[in-house]
This record gives sequence, C-alpha cells and structure tokens, in this order.
Amino acid sequence: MSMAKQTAGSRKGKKPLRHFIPFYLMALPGIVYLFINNYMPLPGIVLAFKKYNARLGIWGSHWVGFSNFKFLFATNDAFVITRNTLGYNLAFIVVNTVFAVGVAILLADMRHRIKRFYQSVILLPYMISMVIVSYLVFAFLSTENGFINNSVLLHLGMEPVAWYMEPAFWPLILILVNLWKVLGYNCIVYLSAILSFDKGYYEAAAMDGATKWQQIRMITLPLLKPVVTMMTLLAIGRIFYSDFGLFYQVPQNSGALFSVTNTIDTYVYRGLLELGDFTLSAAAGLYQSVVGFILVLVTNLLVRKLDPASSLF
Amino acid sequence: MTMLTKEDRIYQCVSHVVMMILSLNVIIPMALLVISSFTDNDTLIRNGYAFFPENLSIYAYQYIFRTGNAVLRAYGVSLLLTAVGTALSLAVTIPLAYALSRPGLPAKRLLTFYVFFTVLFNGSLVPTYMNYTNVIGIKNSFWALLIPGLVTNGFYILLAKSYFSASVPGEILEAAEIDGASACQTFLRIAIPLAKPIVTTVGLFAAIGYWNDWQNGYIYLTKRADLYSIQNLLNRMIQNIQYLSQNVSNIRDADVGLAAIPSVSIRMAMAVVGILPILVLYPFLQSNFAKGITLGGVKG
Amino acid sequence: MKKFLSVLLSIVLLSSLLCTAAGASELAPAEQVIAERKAAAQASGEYDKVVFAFHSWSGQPAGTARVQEKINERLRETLGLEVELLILDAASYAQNVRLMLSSGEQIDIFNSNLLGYTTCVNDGYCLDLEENNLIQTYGQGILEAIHPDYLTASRIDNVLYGLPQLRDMAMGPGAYCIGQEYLDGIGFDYDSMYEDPDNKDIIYTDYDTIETIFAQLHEKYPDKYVFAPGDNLITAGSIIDNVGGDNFGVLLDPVNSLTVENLFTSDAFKAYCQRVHDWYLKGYISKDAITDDTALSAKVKSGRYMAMMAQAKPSYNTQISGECGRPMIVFQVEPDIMKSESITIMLWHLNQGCEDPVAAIQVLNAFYSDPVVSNLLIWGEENVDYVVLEDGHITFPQGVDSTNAEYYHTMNWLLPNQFIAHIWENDPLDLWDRMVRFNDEAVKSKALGFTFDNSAYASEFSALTNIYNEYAKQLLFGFIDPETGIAEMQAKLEAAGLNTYIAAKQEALNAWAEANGIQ
Repeated sequence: MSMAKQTAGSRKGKKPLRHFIPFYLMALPGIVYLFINNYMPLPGIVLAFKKYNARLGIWGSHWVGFSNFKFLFATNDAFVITRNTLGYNLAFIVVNTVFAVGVAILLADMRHRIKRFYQSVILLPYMISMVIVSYLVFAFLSTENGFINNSVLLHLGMEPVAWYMEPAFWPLILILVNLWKVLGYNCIVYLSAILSFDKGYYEAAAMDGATKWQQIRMITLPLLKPVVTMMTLLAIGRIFYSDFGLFYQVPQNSGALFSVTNTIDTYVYRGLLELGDFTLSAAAGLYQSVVGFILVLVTNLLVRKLDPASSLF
Repeated sequence: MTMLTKEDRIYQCVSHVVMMILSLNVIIPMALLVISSFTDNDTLIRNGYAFFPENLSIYAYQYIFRTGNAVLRAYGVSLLLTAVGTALSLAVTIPLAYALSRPGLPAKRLLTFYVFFTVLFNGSLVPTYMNYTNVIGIKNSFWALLIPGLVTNGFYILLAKSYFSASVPGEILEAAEIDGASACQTFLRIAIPLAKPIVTTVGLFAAIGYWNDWQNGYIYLTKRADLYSIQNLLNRMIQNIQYLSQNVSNIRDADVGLAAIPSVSIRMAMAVVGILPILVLYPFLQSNFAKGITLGGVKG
Repeated sequence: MKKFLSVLLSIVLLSSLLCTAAGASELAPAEQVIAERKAAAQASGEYDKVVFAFHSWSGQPAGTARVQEKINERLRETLGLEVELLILDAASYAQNVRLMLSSGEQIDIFNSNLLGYTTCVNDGYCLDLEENNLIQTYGQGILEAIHPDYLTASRIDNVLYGLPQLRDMAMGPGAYCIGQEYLDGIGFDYDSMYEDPDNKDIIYTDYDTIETIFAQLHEKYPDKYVFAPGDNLITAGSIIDNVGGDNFGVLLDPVNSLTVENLFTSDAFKAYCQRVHDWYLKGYISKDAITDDTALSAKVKSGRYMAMMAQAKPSYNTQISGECGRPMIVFQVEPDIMKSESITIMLWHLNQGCEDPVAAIQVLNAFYSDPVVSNLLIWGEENVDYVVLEDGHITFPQGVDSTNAEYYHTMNWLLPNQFIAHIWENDPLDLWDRMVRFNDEAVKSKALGFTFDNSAYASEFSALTNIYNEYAKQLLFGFIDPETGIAEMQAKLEAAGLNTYIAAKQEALNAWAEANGIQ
C-alpha cells in the first residue's frame, strides 16, 4: 500500500502509525456518526428488491428481483421525467453557479457596510418553505388577481395569460424561482473562499496596472476553480433528484404543465400516494442514488485527469 | 490602496446597483408576504393577494399566539436546537476534515471514500427510521431532532477537508510539530485560527440546516407536541392543508377538514413568524461571520 | 373381565375427548380475564396500556392528555386497562402509522382511512379478528352494534380484518349547495320544493333546475362567481361507482350491473364534463379555480362564490351552513346510493403484531358499546369541552368556541360509535334514526364490499395515475373542451395499460361475486 507515499508535500520518509493516532481520534466521532446515520440503515436497501409483508418482517419478506423498478421505466412518461430531471438540474448547475460566483465576487469587493444587509436579504428566501414560495408565485401569476396579469400586462395593453395552463413559460419560471431561492445560500461558500484569498495577489496585479475585470479573470476565477469544481461534482451526484416543493407545489400541481414539471420525484410521489408502497419508493431512491454515484465517479475521473487538485478524491 | 480610482468607483457603483436589484427581488415578495398576513382572510380569498388590501386584520397573529403558547415554545425549541446542533456539528466535522487532510495519513483514500459514499447513498426512510427508533431508541425525544441526518454529512466534511488541504500550509504545521507541539495543540492553536472561514461557513450551513429542518420532527415526534420546532409547527399545518386540498375527491370530509384548518392569512402569518428570528438575529451573527472570514485571510 | 376393561377404556377415551374439546376454546371468558388483569394491576400498581391511533385534521388536540385520563378512569374500572390516544396529523398519518407498524412499535388499534384497506391487509398489518374466536368472545358489544351486512362487506376472502364504524354509509350525490341570500336575491321559491315540510334538510330536484338557478344567479350577481368546482365531480356528483377505489374501471350502473367499464369513454362522463365546461364558458367559474387550493366552503364563506357541490346526508344543510358561514339550501340531483367502497373506506383494525389482542379488542368493544367512553372519545369532558343543554343537545361551554376549544377534533364520523354519544346543537335529536333510515333506504351498489388488490399492477397504476392527474382537473373543472381533452387522455391511458388494468379488475370482481353468491 504505497498510497501514503503518493501524497504531496514534504515527505521525509514514512511516519510511524503511532504518529497518526491523534488524527484517528479526531476523526473518530465523525466516523462513528456516519456509521450510525448512513451505514447502519444501508442493509435496508434490500427492501427495493422485496415485496414487504409485516408478518415476515424485512428479512423474511420475499425477493422479487427488479420488479419494483418496473414502474419507473415501463411508462411513456419515463422519457419525459428523466429529461425534465436532467435538463433542469443541468440548467440549475450552470445558472446557479454563475450567479452565485458573480454575486460573491461583487460582495467580496464591496466596501460599504451595506453589503451585510445585502447578504442577509438574499439569504432570506432560503429560509422559507417552498410551499410559501408557491403562494407568492401564485400572487404574481394568478390568472384573475395576479400582479403580472393585473398590473403589468394590463398597463402594457396585453391580454391576461393563464400562466398555470401554459407549459411554455415554466422552464424559465422554475429556473428563476429556484435561483431566487438558493442564490444567497450558494454564494456563502464562494464568498468565504474569495475572502480567504491572499490579498497580495490583487495588490501586485493592481500595481502592474491590471483592470478589475482582468483581476477577476486572472486571479479570482482560477483560484475559485477547485471550489467550483467540487460544488459542481456534488451537484452532479444529485442530478437525478429534484426539489419536490419546486416541481410539485410551485406549479400548483397543475396537470397542464406536467410535460415540463414532472420529474422523477414527483412522478414517484403521485404514483405511490395511493399505493402506499414503500418498497417502490425505496427502489426509486436506489435508482436515483446509483445513477448519481456513477456519474460522479466518471466525472471525478475526468477531473482528476485534467486538474488533480480539483478532484474530490 | 486607499485611493479610489475611477474604475474602482464605477465598479462599486455597478455592484451596488446589481445587489440593490437582487435585494428588491427579495424584499418585494417578502413585503407581500407580511402584508397578506395582516389581511383579512375572506378578503384574501375574494380578491387574491394585494399590496394594498381592502381589509386588514390581525386575526392571524391572534390565532397563532393564542393557541396555548405553542409558538413561543416552538421558538425556544428551534433556538436551542440550532445552538446545540451547530456546536455539535462543528465538533464532529472539523476534526474529521482536518484529520483527513493530513498528508501521509494511512488509509486516507479509504476513509475519504467512506465519507464520500455517504453523500450519495443512504438507506431509505424505513430502514433509517427503524435504526433510530428500535436500535438507537431516540423516537419522541430531543435527540430525534438533533441527530438524524443533521450532525454532519459528507458534503461539509469534504468541503472543509479541501479547505484544509489548500489553505492551511503543511509547512506551518510541521514547524509546530518540530517545535514540540502535540497534534492536538497544533490543531487548536494553529490550524483552526487559520481555518476560520471554513469553520464559519460550515457552522452557518449547520445552523441553517437545523433551523430549517422540519422532517425529523415530522417523522419522529408523534407524541411530543412540546418538542415541535417552529418550522415543524408551520409545515405540519401546511402539509395538512396541501394534503387535504390535493385529495379532496379521495378523502371523505376533506373539505370539512380544510375549512376547519386555519386558512390563508394564517399560513402567511406562520411563515413570517418562522423567519422573524432570522431577521432579528442574523445581522448580529453576520458581523461575526464577516470578521471570522476576513481575519482568517491574513497570512503571515 | 374383557368386557369391563373395554367399557372402562371407552369411558376413559370419551372423557379425555371431552376434556380436550373443552380445552380447545382456550380463551377464558371476558369477566375472568378482566378480574385477573385488575388483580395484577393492583399488585404491581401499573395498568396494561392499549394504543389507539387515528388522525385529525390538525393533529393532537391540546386537551388530549386530560380526556385520556378521564377515559382511563373509566377503563380501569371496567376493564383493568388504560388506553393511550395517539391522534396524528392527517398529512403524516399514513407515513407515521406505516412506520410504526413496520418497525414493531406498540400500536394496537388503528384506522385504515388514508392508508387503504387492501394495502394494509396485503402488507400484513391486520389481525384476523375471528382468530380463536377473539371477537366472538370479547367483542359482543361490537357485533351487536354493527349491521351484519356491513360486517359481511368488511371481509376480504371471507376473513374479517376490519370493523366499520357507525355513520352515514350511504351518500346523496350531486348536492348543490347554494347560499340562501342569493336565492332570495333572485326571488327563487325554494321553500315549496321540500318534499316533507317537517324535514327541510334537502330539496330533491334535477339538473334543469340547477341550470335555471345558475343562469339567474349569474345575471343578478355578475361580480361574483356562481360555482366553485372541485374534483369530486364524479365521485361525489354521480352514482358512478369507482370500484376498487380508483377511476380506472368503474361501474356505470352499480345498482344493476357488475360490468367494469372505462369511465372516460362513457357518455356519462362526457356529459358531466360538458356541463361543467359550459358553465366555465358562461363565466360561472373562476379562471383560477384549477390552481386555487382553498376549500370550497371557505370560498363560499368569503362571499365571492355562491354555490358548490358536495355529497349530502341527513342534516347536511346544517353542517354546510356552518362551514360556509351563511344559511345554505341543498339541492340534491341524484338518488341516494351506497357505493362499493362506502363501508370499507375507513375500518378499525387490530395490529397483527399486537402483544395482547384480548386487551385491544376489549378496549375497542368499550368504544363501541359504552356511552361513557364513547362520549369522552368523541366530545371530550363534560362541562369542560361541552355542556348538555336542557333539550338534550350539547354545545360549547361559555367562552369556548371552535378556535380555542381544547378537544374538538370533529372526527366523530371516524370513531367507533357516535350513535351512542351526544348530539350537537342544531342537529335533529333523532339524527341517528334518520341516518339508519338513510342507510337502509339508499340503493346499494351490487359490488358493496368489493376491494381490489392492485399490487401486481403497480407500474400500470402509477403510470395511469400520473396521466389522470395531468388531465383530470382540467376536465372536471371545465377548463378544457371534453371533445378533445377526453380523447387525448384516453389515448395516453390506453398506451399505459388501462385495458389490462380494467380486465384484471373485472376478473377480481367476478371472482368476488362468485365467492359471495352475487349475480
């Protein structure tokens, strides 16, 4: 096992195991917690392959192979829900990252004390539940009383739009709503990263006559690369999941919009609401985890080839 | 650089304009939220949400604060939970991340994978529930709010680990060791102060996670209404309303149930009640956040 | 000698046979069990506990602990037991109960409303109540209280897994409730339309009358919406029986036929959708109806909407008037009917993992037959949660109302026996008699009691449900033209396996009919 020898830094020969004991002790609470919280329930994954009966319990219930997964694929909606989930998540990754990084750069450089106010304010949406957000969206998009129809379109002389019946607008609406909700939260990581960069670089660059934009392009962005890559990799791991509140509550569960708002999670929820079968939802969850996991592994390998410092592991 | 160049000024100006727009984007809907919580319920149903409603009423808040101090107690639970939870989360996450970032640690790859795996895989609801209820036995207790899923997760750990690797130079730590400091002293006296930004960030994430969480209470608190956090209380009501309204045709008397649950204005009021402490406390926490980050940026 | 021995042998054999026969009914009589339990409790100072779970619309009422203690005072005396009331939120009920049942926590008695009867039986949660003569020995009160037909309807494969409560089993479909003030405003004479001048609950009429009224209402009150639609158009608005609990394969003529047909290609469905669509086009319905989740009665209460449709029962006008905050007149346009699911939709079960089924069934028996505990369970503590009026009605005490009451969950129709409990003011004192008559006189679906186990068709069902969710509201609220909308939906449903599903349901129904001797 020569892994230890591969790590960067000044290595002066192999250190004895004894040397690392304090570190293992430091790591212990976390390791134990992850074991209890994540690894102990893992054997329950077998539920995805069984037909559950309370009399037999989890272990006694019968195996049914992959038939619990059928409902995810044996449907014409399978393409739509997969496309929607993937499509939105890719859009979210790009849009959210660009805006979060942008805002973080602006805030980092801001001198006035009001920047604290800005940062607090944009964090607020993250603290209210998506259901309340759906009511606020409704206040804007309601056909009869909505702000857009009544105040904006009316004054522009346009006809009111039945927003909840027209799928065409919703990809944009959902991306904007999602951005609104997570922007403040997402920029925390980037902001704290930027603030920790050595100011010396910027001073040197400024003395050399670099413009603000050049400084951002040459210093900030490259230094941010590892963080952005890591956040993106983690987002890729969740690429088959979706925010239930965003895709179910915000469109007010309107059937006319399903073609653009039905994701794997909402499909599973709707289908299983009356069936009440948790083996099916366990199967769906497993499917989402496995796909995400494979994608992250693959992407991480790619990243490791291109820029080893940025890879997750 | 103390003199503001023209370019600097333009840049600051643009920054302010952009941030002002983004802030207004938040303030306006929030204002609508607050106004609707003060609007008479029937008016809300009749005319929809408006910035200048016909009839105002404080009934929603009367209802909330009248129902047996449940709200005040829920605030207390939320605050306690967030404080304890954040401390616990930091105590577990930061040392682990630090340990994982040490070069030469045997089985480092394995341990990192062990952590990483948990980001993407966990048992579904039923096995997790059985684990915590039957094996660990924390159902219907304060621990049920504190422990499941929130103490730490692979994401925080990896984030902190990458920060330690990138920004806390190995040389300084080795120098300390050569000077005779123990691993523990090195960690506490040197590494942590240098890592203030990430400690603050993880702390903030943990605090937000604990404050926002309502799922744990929803699943694990069936007999302890006195342990509901404020978000749990709010979301319970909203989930009931959503569930009933979306299943009106299936559930008998669902309409009666919907009519019985406090309605629109009260939901708005509960949302306001839910963010109020944040609005009040965050500016104070914020200054510590900024201090923590900027101080940490100073390198020797 | 030989003869003597053989006689002796036969006597010995006979007596041992008799002994074992007596021992076969292993269950001791109820009184003995209770006496033993009480003695044990006296000795140890602790009583055995039975957990009784059900849901309410807003979770556990504040006064639950107090009421529970009062119930226990009575139960300790009569049964030597205590009960724990586990009242959960409606939205989390299914999840909480399922988790408790699968993880082996103590939950002895639960209701399968929101969970699904067939699902519970399939997943093995329910105890066979006749196992070892459990209910016959300890639940005589239950067997006496429940109508034998309803008990039969509650069986699956002839096993009794659940018990229905005493309530209105039948329903009065198509009950259009219109605000009285608006009818007065258009000068409509509804008073003369009551069949029985002494019973002014419901007016029985037809769709033409409703159309006339709506047209006049729309003209007189152009700034109000005439009708608040709901997706209960077929389930509460017609006699079409959605056998098996879903809309995929229904009985269009449940009183006369056992043929499971496709609801969506039927003329009846088109007619219903067309009518609502007409109303939408005429402007009776708000364009926001499809996204607004406010309760129908709350909409009427706000004063912006004038009418809504629901399902009626005896004294329904009192109930709906209370909900809508104004006097309402109820016009019912379809005949009273008891649909196949009426009985099995919310049964009471014993957990098959229950440690002491005898104790559980005895507690359940008490709720079915003992007015003291039934009143406590349903209405709370006398003089604290309610007061008894001179004429026998009950109402809130001074200073208490529905917003600050500590124990007012309105779940009386879910609980075992409301017929032996008090009657709230404004409801007629002979309400229970009226309900029994209502149940008896309603026409009954031929498939009464049929339940469909669709676990083998989970894929089809989830696909069908998603498609249905996509189109249903738009059609049932009248937002899209049925001509094109239904065709589109039908095409997708067929592609998702609708016909397979219907065929399977028909097969199950035929098997059930044969087993139960129904033509």
